[in-house]
This record gives sequence, structure tokens and C-alpha cells, in this order.
Amino acid sequence: MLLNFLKAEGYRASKMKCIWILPIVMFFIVMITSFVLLKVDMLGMMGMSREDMDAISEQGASAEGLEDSFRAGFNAGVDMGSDMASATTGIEDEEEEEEERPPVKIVGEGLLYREDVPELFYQNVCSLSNILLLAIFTGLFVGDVYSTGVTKNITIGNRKRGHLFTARMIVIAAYTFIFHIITYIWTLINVALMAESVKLNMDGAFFKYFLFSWIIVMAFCFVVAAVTTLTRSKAAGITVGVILSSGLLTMAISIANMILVRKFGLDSNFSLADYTLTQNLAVLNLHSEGHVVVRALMCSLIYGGLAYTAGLVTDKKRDIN
Amino acid sequence: MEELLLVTNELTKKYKNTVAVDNVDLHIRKGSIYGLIGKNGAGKTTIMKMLAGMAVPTSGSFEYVGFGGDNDQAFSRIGALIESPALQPNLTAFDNLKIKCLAYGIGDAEYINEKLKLVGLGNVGKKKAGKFSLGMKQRLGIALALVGEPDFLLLDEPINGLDPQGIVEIRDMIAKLNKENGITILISSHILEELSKIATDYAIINNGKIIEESTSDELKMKCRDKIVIKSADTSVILPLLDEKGFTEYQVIDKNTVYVFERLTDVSTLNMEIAKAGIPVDSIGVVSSDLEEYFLKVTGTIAGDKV
Ligand SMILES: Nc1ncnc2c1ncn2[C@@H]1O[C@H](COP(=O)(O)OP(=O)(O)OP(=O)(O)O)[C@@H](O)[C@H]1O
Ligand SMILES: [Mg+2]
Repeated sequence: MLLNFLKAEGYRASKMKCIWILPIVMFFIVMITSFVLLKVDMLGMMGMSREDMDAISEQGASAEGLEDSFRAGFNAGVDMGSDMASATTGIEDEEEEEEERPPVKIVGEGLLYREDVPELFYQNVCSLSNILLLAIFTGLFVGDVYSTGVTKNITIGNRKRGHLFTARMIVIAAYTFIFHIITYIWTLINVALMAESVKLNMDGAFFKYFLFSWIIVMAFCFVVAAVTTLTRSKAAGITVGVILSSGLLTMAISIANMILVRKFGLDSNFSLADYTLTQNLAVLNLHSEGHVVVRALMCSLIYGGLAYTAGLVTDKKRDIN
Repeated sequence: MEELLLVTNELTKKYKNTVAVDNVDLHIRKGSIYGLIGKNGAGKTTIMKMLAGMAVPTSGSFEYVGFGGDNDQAFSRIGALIESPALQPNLTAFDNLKIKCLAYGIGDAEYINEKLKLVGLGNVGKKKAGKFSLGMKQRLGIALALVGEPDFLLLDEPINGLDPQGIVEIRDMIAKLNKENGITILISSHILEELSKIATDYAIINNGKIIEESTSDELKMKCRDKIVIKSADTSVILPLLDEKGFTEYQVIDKNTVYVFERLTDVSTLNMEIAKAGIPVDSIGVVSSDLEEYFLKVTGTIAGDKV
């Protein structure tokens, strides 16, 4: 029964236009993020070069090191100025003025120009744009059930409604997984186009990050699915998804946090935001410590589990309209 | 007694401040075409939703006795088109059917095309269901209900939106499914006249209550010819009718009485009334049709002596 429902829901999802459109949108988002990280020369804009930066880190960012590197940057500018001067004779007066200020470079080596693919993938996931797009998919996919009443065609007995709901959630989980892979592929393409070289670095840390971040994304989509199921409204589901993933709630959460700390005497290090899915996804990285990973997984399990149960129970109990 | 497929027992559904279905007892025979007739808001759809497991009764119960009594098992043997057909507007007719076929784990392309042909959608091709006309949607809804070869079919106003030719086609199809495939059919309508062409049993429902349940033959008996007496004040006529041994009569309103028996006695009756000194505006035999009968029993002009 479950397998049949899985096929039916999978087929329904496969006929949705948004499953093709969202990855295209994601491609542009990944491209922009990658461009900023790989190609926008933040250091260059400050008149510094990668070597200076390395020098800074080597010398422990001491005052001396900083001074050195600024001098180096200044010299680089001078060098460049003289290069240009030798190439173009006759405008020496202007060039002499330029010598005082190094020229501003925008496109060049970005901050992560020499980083590996997993690092870029992490950057694309923690920016939360993937869950924003997936919230749209989930809202549409689940909301269609209520706007078209398709349930009444395929389940007539109460007995089977739970299976249908479960099948729907599995399809959502599967699509989030595919989307995660797509995000990785888009990252790979953009790294190949813009970074120094493609360093795959498919080590344990990468696979762990891939898996854990997917679990958080899936739990988030379950929450959106539950909201859509409870309200029977696409709009409600998508809106909640967008609000959660765009950080609009941050203010409310920090106020609630303050109240908790003040009124209930919680440790002032306590942060309510640490227990939201989005914050967990933003914080989790390739080298997260054990307790961060555990917290992320626990939050996913609790939110995802609650959302699944709430959706399942309502969908089973409620009359079909 | 013929074998029953489904009986309901004081089936009731309450919404916040409406009693949509009120202690309904239906007895649906195996192999019958059971017509459910009622005005808008009478509760037809709500009854069907409960019977299809889409809505949970507030109280009372129903039992698919003909399917061994296990309702869960029975649900897998019924097909339903309840209220508007549930279609995915962005999919073709074929794909709409395919979703249901996948969910039921049955059928191939040929099966689907066969169903489409059966309801007259054989050549819609790649047109999206959202672009279908009302009648085409209705036909697709019927095709969906037929997937899985149900033994019991619930059709909620299936001829809604069909053109006259479509009505005939669908009616013929329903009759054929009933006769050839032995499918029991529960069908609802506002129009008794329409149902009377195929239905073998009826329930007339009003404000959630069953007003009467009868076979087609019984109903035709009730719609027989009658004597209509019109007078300024009919209340004085009633004792006279009782006295003369008339029992089957109905007070329609202050000025009208129907008498359903001894139609040939109309002239004698006329004389008796005149003898009693009661002024009569008119008296005579009138034959009525089903629709009139339906309006009468569901209207304010209830049959009972008020
Ligand atoms: N989900 C609901 N919530 C509240 N009231 C409802 C609901 N569904 C139906 N009703 C009420 O129940 C009553 C019966 O409705 P139902 O749809 O069964 O009528 P119907 O006989 O099918 O009418 P129609 O011929 O117009 O289709 C109506 O008064 C309706 O307002
Ligand atoms: Mg109705």
C-alpha cells in the first residue's frame, strides 16, 4: 500500500513545474554566492594581496605584521603604477599622483579562491537559500492536495490515509535529498569555472556535513508540510517557510530569549536561537564540534518528528473536504 | 427479501450549528440503483461522504453488510465521485487517471485509455484537465470513480453540467454498469424526474432527514392521480371526509385538500360537500408528476395533518 502511494505521490511531484524551476533558481543563487566568494577580491579592494594576507596569518596578525603587509600592499600599488607608467609615456604627471593611492581591484582572487569544493558547498547551504526554495516546493506539493482534493480519489478509507501522508513526507525527504545533491553539483560547476582549481576533498567531514545538513533541511520541510497540512493552505505553508528561513523571526526570538534569561534565571549564555532549525543549519559546518552536531540532530529529530506526527494525526482524523 | 449491500443506522452528522444529516436509516439493496433526492443543502453530499469514509459520523453507524460487514475492507471496493471531481488542473486526463492507478497498484496505459473511452473522453489527447469544460471534468470524475472496478459506486449529482446528449450518455452508462457489471449505485440528484428514468429505489431527504424511502414502484403509486378540492376553508371538509370513510387525504394548505382514493366518487363527494352547506371553489381529478410529488413532500406543505 505504502509503495503504491509512494509511486502515486512521486508521480504527482514529478509533474510539478517547480521541481525544475527551483533548481534553476538555485543555480543562479549558487553562481552569485560563488562569484562573491571566489571572484570578488575583497583584499584587493583594500589594496592587499593574498601574499600579504598569508603573511598576516603567519605573523600572528601582530601589529608588526599588519604594518608590514600594508607596506607591502602599498609597494604593490607602486609597482603597478610604475608598470603602467612605463607602458604609457606622456601622462607621467597623472601617474605620479596615482602612485600615492593603490588602484582598486574588484574582480580577482576572492576570499575562498583557493578553497575546496566542500567549503563552497557549506557556504551555499548555510546561507539558507536552499531551504527557502524547498519551502516553496513543500508548500505547493502539500497544498495541492487540499486545493485539488486529490486525496478523495486515492484514499477512501481512513485506514489508508496515514500511509498516504507518510508517502507524501517520503517524497519530500527524497526531493530535499536530490536538491542537496543538485546544490552540490551547482557548487562543483561554479568552482570549476571560478576557483583556482577543483579540490574535491570528499573526506569524512564532507559526507558527515552533507548528511547532517540534509537532515536539518528535511526537518525544516516537514515543519512547512505540517503547517500546510494543518491550515490546508499553500499560502500559509510557504509564508511560514519563508519567514523562518529569512530570519524575520530573529527579533522575536531574541526578545523571547531575553525574557527567558531575565525571568527564569537561565544562564546568560543561553540562546534560544540555538534551538531553531535555521540557526542550526547556519551554524553547522564542516568542522563542527560534537555537541553542535548533536544539538542539530536532536533539534531536527524533535521538530521533524513533531511535525510529522501532527500532520499525520490531523490528516487521519480530519474529514476530507 | 433481497440481499442488502449497505444499511445505515441513525446516521447523523452535526457541524457547528447545523445538523447536516439527522438519524438517517437507508437500506440499499445489492444490485440496485438507489436515488437520493433532496434540495440544496438537504444533506445528500454529507451522507455520501460518510459512506465513502471521507467524513466521520457524529453518531450512528453504517455497515456494508453485503461486503461482509468490515467497512475498512469495503472501502477498497467502492468508487466515488463526490461533489466536484478532484482533478489536477495541470495534468492531462490520462495523467489524472494514472495517479489513481498508481495508488491502487493497477492498470496500464491500455486500462486508462479504456476508461477514458468509456466516459467519452477518448480523444482529448494532451489537453490539460484545467482547460476542460464542466461536462468534460464531470466525465473525467466518473472515469476516476471507475478505476479499480468498484462493486459499489457513489455518484453525487453526476449529470451536473452535462448537455442533454451527455445526460443521456451518462444515464445509459450508469444503467449499463449496473446491469452488465452488477455494480450497485448510489446516485444523488435534485431532480426526481431525471432519477426516475434509472433508479430502482429512492430516498427523499429534506433538512437532513429521510422523508421517505421507497422503491420505484411504490413511488409511482404515490404519484398517482388524485381528487383536488379547493375551498375557502377546508378545515370543515375534513370531518366530512372522515365520516364518508376517506383515509388517504392530505391537507395541502388552508384552501386545498388532496384525496388519493376512490377517484370515481368525485361527483358523489361533490354532492356530499354541497349538501353539508360548504362552499367549494372547485373539485376535480388531477394527475400529478413526480416532480410535483417531490416538491410537495419536501416543501412546507407537509403531508401530515398539521
Ligand atoms: N464542512 C462543513 N462545515 C459546516 N457545515 C457543512 C459542511 N458541509 C456541509 N455543511 C452543511 O450541511 C448541510 C448539508 O450539506 P450537503 O452538502 O450535504 O447538502 P447537499 O444535499 O449535498 O446539497 P447540494 O444539493 O447543494 O449539493 C448544509 O446546510 C451545509 O451547509
Ligand atoms: Mg451536494
